Amino acid sequence: MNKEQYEYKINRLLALLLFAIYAVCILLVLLTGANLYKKLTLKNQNSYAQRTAIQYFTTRVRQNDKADAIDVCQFGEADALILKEQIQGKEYETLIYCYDGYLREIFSSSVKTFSPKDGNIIIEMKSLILEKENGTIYAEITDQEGTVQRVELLLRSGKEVLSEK
Amino acid sequence: MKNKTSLVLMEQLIMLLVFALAAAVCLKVFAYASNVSSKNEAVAQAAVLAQNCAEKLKRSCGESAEEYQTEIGEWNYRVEVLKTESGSDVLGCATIVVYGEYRNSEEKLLELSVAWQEVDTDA
Repeated sequence: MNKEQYEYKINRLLALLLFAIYAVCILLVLLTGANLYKKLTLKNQNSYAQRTAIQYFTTRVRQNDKADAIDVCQFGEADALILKEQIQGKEYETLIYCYDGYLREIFSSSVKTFSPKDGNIIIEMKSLILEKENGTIYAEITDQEGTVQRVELLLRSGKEVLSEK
Repeated sequence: MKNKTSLVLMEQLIMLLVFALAAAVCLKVFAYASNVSSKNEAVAQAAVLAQNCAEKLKRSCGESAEEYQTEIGEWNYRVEVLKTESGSDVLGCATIVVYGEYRNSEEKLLELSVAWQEVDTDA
């Protein structure tokens, strides 16, 4: 093999090597981008689910904030928010609770005849722990990723009821 | 033949250079997107903290106005309550400010004005 042929081969190899580096770099940037996009989408999805759950819960409490209309009870093995209302003289109840990875809701005049799996699915949620103390509802909402959010809701009608008693 | 190989090599080098520039821009955009997403999450969290603080203030008629700190995820939050004048004896007012600290840099995330009815203790 003469010198010219040897140089030619080296140059070709170098070109090939450069192309390989180029291909690997493209692949790396693409993979990083795809990975980041996946992470961001997942993060946004979780954030949306958590925000929606909190807003839904807060809105339901505010809508039904009347004297003795909101309470916390046990439904199956889970904590449930119970919202009472009168419609044409008949008492109806709405139960909001978490079961089997979802926030669920039941609206009926006889909720006790239902089981937790019968509720309408609202949004994904891992767990919901509720407590009512001194006219305040304390909710601990855990999303699918395990992030815990604590929400405190002061019942506006609570104070008047307490002072009357 | 030698000239042709050199040309290919040159072309590859230019290609790699252009790619490096494009990749640098892409990576910068990725990092920016990640920061924006993290900040959005922090602002949502700050809104919940401010809302909880507002509920506490309303419950205690402005008595529980101390500053507190809490760490959630990668962010460290500081909730500050600044009492303001409402101009009325029956109305209490405050501004809740939530600061977030992420990678040793603190910034204001949210400001929320809150008002409550003062309880007349003489009555």
